[in-house]
Amino acid sequence: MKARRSTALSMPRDKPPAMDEPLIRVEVDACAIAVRGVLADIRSQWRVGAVDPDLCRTGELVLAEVLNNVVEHAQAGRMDGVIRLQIAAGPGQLTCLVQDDGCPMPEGKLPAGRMARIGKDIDSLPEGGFGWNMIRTLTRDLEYRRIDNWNHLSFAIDKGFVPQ
Amino acid sequence: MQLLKQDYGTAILIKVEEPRIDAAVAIQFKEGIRELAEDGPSRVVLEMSSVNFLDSSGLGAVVAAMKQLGADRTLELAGLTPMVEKVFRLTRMDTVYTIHENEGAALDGLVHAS
Repeated sequence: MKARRSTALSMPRDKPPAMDEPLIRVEVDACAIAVRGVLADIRSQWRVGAVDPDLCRTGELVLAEVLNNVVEHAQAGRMDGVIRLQIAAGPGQLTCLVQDDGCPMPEGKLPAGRMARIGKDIDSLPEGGFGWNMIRTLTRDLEYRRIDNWNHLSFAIDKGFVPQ
Repeated sequence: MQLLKQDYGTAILIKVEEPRIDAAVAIQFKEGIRELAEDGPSRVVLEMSSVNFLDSSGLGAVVAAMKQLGADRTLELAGLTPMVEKVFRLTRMDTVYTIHENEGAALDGLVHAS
């Protein structure tokens, strides 16, 4: 396998953000190990920025689902896929933009993410399909666009949101 | 994949000594559980207090681990951290598994046999 790396996290140089709104911009190779690495980097950035721990947990989960979807679907079978991430941590919320140069979403729109049927029969329990459901449940203003052969997915996550 | 097995006669306890069960390790996790749980007693308790991150791939692997035990055996969970508990609740998989607060509650009265 080609050596994988995630580019070091960088703060934008042109406009230093206020201390309570640290902006993370990072480019990550589209593979599961690089995704793991970048999530660890983001986690430590959030810790330094004193982002609310519950918001961090939710943010990490949503980002993991989004990034792994890109790796497993949009960039499947490619060794040169790139994902660009931009995350702003404001008071009590995260706003995220995820861009990748992989295949477009099927039919050009986001998966419905309907809750898989959970019955009592163990054999018929779903082993997948949880990802988009969690993304849709945990985010606000989820928006997908295809621009110049890139996927653009943007969303926000609020602190203290408790799903029903 | 760090998985530690303890035999309690009518149950086995498998301690998941990994901080993350995610897309990068889901397959190894499923295989590891399969090897350790093969031909054992009907109850398999997965102790997850070291796991502080579980994503949908990891959850899928936990479900797959339960299925591969077969119909007459059960997979129970113990010691879920807040993040892991949240994923089970969000996906309603908390309604499928017997979830114990900790290892002691899961193995109440049973004596370590190995």
